Amino acid sequence: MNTSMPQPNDMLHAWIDGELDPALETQFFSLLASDSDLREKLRHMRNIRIEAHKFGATVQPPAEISDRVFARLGFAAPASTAAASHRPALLATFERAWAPVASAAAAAVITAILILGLRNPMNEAATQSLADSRTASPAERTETPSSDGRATNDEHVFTDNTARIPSAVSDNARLSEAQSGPASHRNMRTDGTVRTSAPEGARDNNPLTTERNAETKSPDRPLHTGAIEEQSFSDIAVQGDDAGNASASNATSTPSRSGSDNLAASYTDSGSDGEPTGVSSAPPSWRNPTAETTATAPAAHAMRESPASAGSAPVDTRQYFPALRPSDILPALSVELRGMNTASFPSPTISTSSDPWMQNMAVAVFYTSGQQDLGIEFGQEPFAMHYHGVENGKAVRYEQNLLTPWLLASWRHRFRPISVAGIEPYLTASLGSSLYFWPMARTGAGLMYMPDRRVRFHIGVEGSMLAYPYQQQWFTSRRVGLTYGLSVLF
Amino acid sequence: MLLRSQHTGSERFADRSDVELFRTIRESPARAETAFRELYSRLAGNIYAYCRCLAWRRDESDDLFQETFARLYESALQGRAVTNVSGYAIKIARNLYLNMQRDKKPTVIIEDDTLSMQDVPHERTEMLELIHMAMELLSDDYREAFFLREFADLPYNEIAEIMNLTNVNVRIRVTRAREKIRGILQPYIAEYEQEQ
Repeated sequence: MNTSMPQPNDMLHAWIDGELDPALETQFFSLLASDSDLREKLRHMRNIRIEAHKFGATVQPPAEISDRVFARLGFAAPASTAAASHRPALLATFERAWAPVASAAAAAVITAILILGLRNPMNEAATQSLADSRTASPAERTETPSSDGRATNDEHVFTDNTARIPSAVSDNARLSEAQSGPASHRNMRTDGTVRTSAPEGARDNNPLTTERNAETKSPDRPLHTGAIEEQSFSDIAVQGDDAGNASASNATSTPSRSGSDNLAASYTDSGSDGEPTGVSSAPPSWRNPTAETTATAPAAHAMRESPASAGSAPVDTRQYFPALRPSDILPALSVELRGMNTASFPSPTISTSSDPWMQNMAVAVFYTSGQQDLGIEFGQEPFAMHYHGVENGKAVRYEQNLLTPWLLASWRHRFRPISVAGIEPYLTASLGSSLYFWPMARTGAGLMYMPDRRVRFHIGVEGSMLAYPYQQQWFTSRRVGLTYGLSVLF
Repeated sequence: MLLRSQHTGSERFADRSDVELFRTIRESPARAETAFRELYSRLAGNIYAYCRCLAWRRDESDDLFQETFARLYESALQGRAVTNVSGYAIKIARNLYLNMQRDKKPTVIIEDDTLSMQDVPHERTEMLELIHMAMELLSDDYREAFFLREFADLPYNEIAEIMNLTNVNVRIRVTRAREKIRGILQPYIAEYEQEQ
């Protein structure tokens, strides 16, 4: 046996280390050429070595560790180290925080879209009809002699096949106005819907609206006045039939006096229950409880649709949720979703074993009474736990970073809005337990902003403490940091 | 001369060897801090990685790292004769770790600390994480030898000195550690090579 002849494996390691005897290189390469397994092994080991070596050459301690080293020796923090490692620290912070920040931004954007989307139809509705009447071109407008021989512009034929109520209807409506106040103008579309718009007087007297219409509105644009004003054309036709002998087609294509009378009557006359038919045919739940009178009284209705008033007052979006029937309790309830970006004390040395999507988040239901909010809050967040004891005669020390679900009863006091943009400061305190029945308390303070009467944004700071037992000793874990969220009121 | 005067203290030390810097800390108190900063910038990466390799737990490895440099500075002030500063620092870290292990109370970790690779660029973490995972399966002796050879790129004789082993013994440990890690990572490496 030749003991001086190295094994292929030894030559391989020697070659990786750069220590292979040049005299053996030829032999080694001939072995490589004939042995595919050896080639693969060499390739794998080289890859491992390259990766490990690259890591060893580039790894740097975190800036805070360097700072501690220099502080301990009485030196200032090294500028170069700090500069070199601050950026990764910022990046690391961003990587940790991007999810809650992005979710908060997404919630803000969605809410803004909802608010703007729900607010605009009311304004546009009022201005649209004015725009139609002001800017419709002669080609698009068909003037029809009224019964008294006057030409009116109450009937229009729109390029989108939308027809307006004939003049006779308007005449009849004027009669109704005389009886029950100024009726709002109502437009009827051949797609089976009827629209209402602001009364003539209200429109004409508002220079602001007039100017806006002249700039932006087009008669070709379909009318859109919001759900509350919509009514099925077939419903109207039936009402017309009930009242007399008019049909829907009569009302639109042949504006006969009798048909239009009957149709107009269906808009303005009271029904059997005494309510104006045009509005009352909508489900009662559509009507805003706070604006009940505006929905039934034409004058007030017109005022609500007035561009000036609709533009300044926040819209009550509860009317768009017919399933939520008004009650004493419901308007006082709110649902809140918030995120938490907090640091644990003691600091966690290990990560959580699970990584569910719902962590550092809480959802709550609050009952509002004046400036006080009372509610129940459920959330889940990791608490770093360091505890110790004696097991089997040996001292043991445990560390964990336990994802802890909790349920808290919360109280919140909102102070009167400060002058800047109606922002409300608040204080909050909560008491409850984790779902492991460990007591937990939380307190915080922050600011709330209410862009709409149904929506509140809030941001603040909070601290929470969880107490947990081990071997008849109690230990605590604290979390302090930032919270931000969104409340939606019913 | 003007150009030279504009250099920072650290740049002036850039061309000096580790041993010269180590000596400067004692011999020139006015320049001790600058010399130590330069030495720190050269050694910190390797020592930090080594402490992470030894202790695995972040808090322990951070303590170890700080203590190592504090001891290194103290040794320099005391005028200790050192021929290989990097190896000496690694040896300080190793002895501190062994002392720490000896004095340590028994600890049970409920949740394992998966090694954080935040210090490494993202694109390289996958393979490195695999290597670190495989290293966790090695015994302490093999892991340390493997680290000093493959990560710190120390020659075998220095590793032998640090670990108080013979050169042959270190080679055996490194070779076996490589074989084991390669065996563990074989399926992943093939995939990694395909991606590369």
